[in-house]
Amino acid sequence: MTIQRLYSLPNCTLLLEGLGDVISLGQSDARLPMSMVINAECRLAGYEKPLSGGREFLDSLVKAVSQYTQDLLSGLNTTRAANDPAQLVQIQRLSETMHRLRVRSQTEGSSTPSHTTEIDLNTVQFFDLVEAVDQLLADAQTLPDLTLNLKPLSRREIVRERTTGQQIVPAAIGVSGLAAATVLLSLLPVPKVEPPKDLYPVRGQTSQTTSTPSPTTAPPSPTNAPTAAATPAANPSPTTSASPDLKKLEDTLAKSPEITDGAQLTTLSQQLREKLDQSWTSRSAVTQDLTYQVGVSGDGAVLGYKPVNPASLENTSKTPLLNLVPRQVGTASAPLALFKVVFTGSGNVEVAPWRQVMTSPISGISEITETNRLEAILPKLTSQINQNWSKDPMFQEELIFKVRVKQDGTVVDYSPENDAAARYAQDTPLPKLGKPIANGNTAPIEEPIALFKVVIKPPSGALEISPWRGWQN
Amino acid sequence: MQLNSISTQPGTPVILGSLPNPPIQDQTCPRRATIEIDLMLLAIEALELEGSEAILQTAKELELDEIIKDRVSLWRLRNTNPLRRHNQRRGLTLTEAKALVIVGCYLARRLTVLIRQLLLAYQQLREQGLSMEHHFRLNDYLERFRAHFRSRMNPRRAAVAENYSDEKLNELALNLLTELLFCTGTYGIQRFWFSLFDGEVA
Repeated sequence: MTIQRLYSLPNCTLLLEGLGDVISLGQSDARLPMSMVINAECRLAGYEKPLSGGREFLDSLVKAVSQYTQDLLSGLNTTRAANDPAQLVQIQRLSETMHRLRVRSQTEGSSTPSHTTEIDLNTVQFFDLVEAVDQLLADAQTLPDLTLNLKPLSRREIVRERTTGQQIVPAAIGVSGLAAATVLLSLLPVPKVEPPKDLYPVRGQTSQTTSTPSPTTAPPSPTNAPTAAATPAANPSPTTSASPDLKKLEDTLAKSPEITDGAQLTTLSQQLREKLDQSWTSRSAVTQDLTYQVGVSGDGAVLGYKPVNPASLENTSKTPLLNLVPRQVGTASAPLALFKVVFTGSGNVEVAPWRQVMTSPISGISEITETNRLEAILPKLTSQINQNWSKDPMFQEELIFKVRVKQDGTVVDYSPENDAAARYAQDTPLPKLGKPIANGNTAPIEEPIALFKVVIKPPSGALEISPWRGWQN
Repeated sequence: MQLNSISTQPGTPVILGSLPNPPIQDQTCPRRATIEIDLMLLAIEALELEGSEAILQTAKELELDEIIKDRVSLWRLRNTNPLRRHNQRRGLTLTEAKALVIVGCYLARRLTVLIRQLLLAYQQLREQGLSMEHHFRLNDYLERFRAHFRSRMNPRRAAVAENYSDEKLNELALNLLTELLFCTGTYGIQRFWFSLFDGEVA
């Protein structure tokens, strides 16, 4: 007994005729599973003659449709199906909206020349074909061995096929602007930035480690620009030539993996402090605080350092750092612990794990975190915001800002922390009180500051202010 | 792809089991995937006025509100897109990505009729050599998409800067509309999901 299955969509019907392998045991009303297909017929809108064939045609149709859809979705590669001439069914992209289905009729012997049918479908028509195929795949009662078989393309397939694709179908390039740009971009190194503990990105000098060539004509990585500008050490400076290996020392900091284990950091921190304290002989020459980022290997050896304020760049020779770093800087890739080291004008050495202390790496200014001080600042901030509304709030969503405030309550700067905040910042009192934090805004601050999270709620602009890092217990 | 890939972890919503983990090394999404997912949701917001509200509502209906809790958590998840102005510099976990993809595809399915209409209109305008302004609803979608994109993406990023013109953004919006159509199908969710990892596996 033959069984028929019909998958019908507005622009496409797929009709299967086949056989079941189980004998019906009186369950005449039950839907018998079809285990073998005799003929598959695919009718597409606008074409009178259906495409048809046996299992080979059906398998090829399913495969081509699946692959092409995946290419379409990822936007990565549009010629994979066309590269396999053995397939009966191939699909090719003609334009943004048109897709060409090419079906080679099955030849019985090698003597018969194969005949190819071409059908052009628009996106919606093609989707109906995909959907008919998917309904067939999802139907467990029809050809249960035919199931959705998807897997992501491997890196290798993408690269290889992109090049062959460019040779074969130059017109297929430019199919999707951003998709392609996204791919290229994803091949570029992701600028490595410290986790956003601070308002300013710490690490400006991201090393370009990948060898991936960038075919874009744009500057290699404009995204690095703002962070690079944030690092004074990156600025050309007359004193840079005095310590020619500074660049290398900084590279060491940037390239090595970081030690983050708390106990180890504490030990290393103590060791480093002792070592610096003992070897610092020219204390009296230092008249102001000099701050550095210092990298230390797991066994306590100083591997590299980076001055973080202009004074520290100029006065490195007055610290013991130059004597401690290795003469030959290799391409160190050993794990490294990062510390903030301050040689104070009063002759003390302060050492603390970099990640814990930095609020503003530029100025080396510490952050106010003590509960009682925060409590003293909070009402000052609240009243300033409340008193400076110039018009009624118009926004419908919560606005979240990060605000930096001095001890006396003066707002230094602020940054919107959600989209609504970015959109409505100008309507709030904040622009009157401080300036927005821009990526390149690195003006040093001379005194400790506190970080607050300010939430402004609709409709009345009610305030909810809390310390950015929570209350200390 | 098969049933055995359904997660057995307690507390994981069952619906996530429809999407297997791709064979990648860590449990976070590749960069391109975070961009694609966010853009797909951006296109939905351009189609539907209260799009972000609908995302939260759908997450609740699908019992994914443990992952997509509220506006802020949705905002955080979407800002894993490195092109965002307020990029979070944290990764998007596979579980979070699955939740966003499932919600997005459900919303797309609800918008099937509109998506088909707009794509047909697009094709007709192209055939007639007319600009997109000639179709009110399509133009509306494109305008909203451009506005959303420009207000949320960081123009300092090369991929954003290079695609800032009206033409480029329209092209992107129409590509996304096509993607959304394919998300509405029987296996749309799975097809979209796997495409996110193309070129990311060894």
